Amino acid sequence: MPTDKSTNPTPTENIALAQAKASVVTTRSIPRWVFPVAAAVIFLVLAPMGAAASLGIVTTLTAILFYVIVAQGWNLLGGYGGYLNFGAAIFVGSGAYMAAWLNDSFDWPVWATLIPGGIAAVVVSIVIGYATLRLRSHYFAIFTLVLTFLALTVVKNTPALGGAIGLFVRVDRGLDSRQIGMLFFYLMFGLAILATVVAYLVENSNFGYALRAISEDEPAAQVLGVKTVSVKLRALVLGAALGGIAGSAWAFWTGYIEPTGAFSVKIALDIVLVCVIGGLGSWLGPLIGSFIVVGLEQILRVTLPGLDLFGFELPAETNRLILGVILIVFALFIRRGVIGLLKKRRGRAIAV
Amino acid sequence: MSSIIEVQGLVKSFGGMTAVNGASFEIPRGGIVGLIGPNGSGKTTTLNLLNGVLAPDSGSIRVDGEERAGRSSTALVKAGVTRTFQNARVFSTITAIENLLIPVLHSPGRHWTEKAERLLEFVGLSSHRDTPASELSGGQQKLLEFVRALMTDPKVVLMDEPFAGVHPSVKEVMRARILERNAEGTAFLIVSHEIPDLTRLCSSIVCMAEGAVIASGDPAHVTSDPRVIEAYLGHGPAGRGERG
Ligand SMILES: Nc1ncnc2c1ncn2[C@@H]1O[C@H](COP(=O)(O)OP(=O)(O)OP(=O)(O)O)[C@@H](O)[C@H]1O
Ligand SMILES: [Mg+2]
Repeated sequence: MPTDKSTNPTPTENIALAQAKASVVTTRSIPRWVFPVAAAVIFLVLAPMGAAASLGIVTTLTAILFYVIVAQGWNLLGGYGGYLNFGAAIFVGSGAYMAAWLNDSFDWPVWATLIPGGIAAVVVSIVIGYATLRLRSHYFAIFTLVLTFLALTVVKNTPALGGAIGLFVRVDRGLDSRQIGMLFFYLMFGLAILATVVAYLVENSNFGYALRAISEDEPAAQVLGVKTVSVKLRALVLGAALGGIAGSAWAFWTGYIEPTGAFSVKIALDIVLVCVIGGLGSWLGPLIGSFIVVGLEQILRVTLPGLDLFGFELPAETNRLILGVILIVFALFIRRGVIGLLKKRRGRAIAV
Repeated sequence: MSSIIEVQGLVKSFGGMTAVNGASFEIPRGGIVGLIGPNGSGKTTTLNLLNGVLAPDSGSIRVDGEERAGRSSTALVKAGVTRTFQNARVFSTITAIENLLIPVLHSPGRHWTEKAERLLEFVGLSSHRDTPASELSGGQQKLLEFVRALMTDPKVVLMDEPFAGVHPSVKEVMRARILERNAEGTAFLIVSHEIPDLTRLCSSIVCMAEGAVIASGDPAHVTSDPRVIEAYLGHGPAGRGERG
């Protein structure tokens, strides 16, 4: 029988509570408001660039913004949910092909294809999600890679989608290259802000907590009553929508898509790289990571081929090699990405 | 229906190894039952069966009169059974209050935050409301896990080693809060190797050995039962806390 039913704190309890309060080291990290302000500053600085910068810089910045959109989408399940995967290109490709097909067959302009592109990716993601999200994360990662090749093969063999040759996508012909550059810069710019806001809202919502709980200890989350499969599916679908919308815009921007370019493992890997370097499971991570990865790729592409190392000309693939080494360094030593270096302890570490 | 949980002939094997072998016991409504037994006697496995982490090979688990054996964890949370783990399983990258919101994610409402704040206060963690759980001490994590199990107003809380490896003062807080909740009607099943603590806390004790219940009833009787002493002596000294 219970021998003690007292409810008032006893002296020992008071000591315990005092100790509990004292024992936590408060880590002095950067105050929370700094991060939204930093993001706002990044976008404010970018805003005039589309009109003011040289076409070369505008093109690079547009590529960065494209990566921001796709990476914010990927980060929902990949970063917060801990389901690292190589599937980003499937959704970009689905959106791109939907847009290209609507343009090719019905002459739809870019703005009209964004939503259909997103929907195409959503439909694909629901199918993939139902088929694979009961798998544990490593199997899921491998499966997405297989599915990327499957999508590529299917599209390659579909004449209506241009087969191996691909589809041309026509932007309004009255515009010169400078105007086209500007148009796509601002389109990607707007979408990147949208994607970043979505990621910010998710991070600070119940949905975000559920994803982080899944990433840390999925069985425990399940025991506590979290509907883990449904949460993962929603993250995949929301991320796919962003990937598909970005893919639609991208198809118009490049003006021509073909299967290996649209369902490209390079894009899928770059997206993982962006999030790992920027910081997994942080809404600011993809933003910072995109600048680092795309910027680095451009610099390496420009500087490397000219360099010779002890008399040997460096091969063109050297930049992939260097990025691969950087990925490994981050995976092993800087596991919370650049954002993790700034924020203490809050980001999710990636499991190697 | 005097019992909130009635377990009958529970069996669970892993391959050739029978972890729970025909266990039967009851948790009375509003009772605190201690579950003891040497290492490997099947206590954690029993908890896993009671809250749907594992499905039994055979046997019956009645919660509030309803058969629930083999149902999912989600269903058992709904039926009023929650738990804590042998090693605290808090989510370390999110804050204390966010941890408390995890069990109620699927039923939106502002009142949950207030409830979570009250529960943090209940175990003296109010000042750590926005502290990432990774920065809490081991004892504080156990307290956090305890109140997380209370978020859904369970009828019975299954606790695996709530006192293991925590500072004696935190242990006192844990004990007092369990009693306080119990006074309001919540039943508890508490697995512990700290037998003196359990006998002070529990209305009855169940002792398992090799997957079967070898004694149950009044704490003083069970702990002085020769079979219980024998079971513990055969497996090393009783009363030693262990983690793992
Ligand atoms: N998932 C599993 N797969 C295989 N064997 C298991 C599994 N879970 C438990 N066992 C085995 O079942 C037996 C009972 O384990 P259980 O964890 O229930 O014991 P316990 O009474 O909680 O022990 P302890 O006091 O050490 O926590 C042990 O021999 C253990 O090795
Ligand atoms: Mg155990």
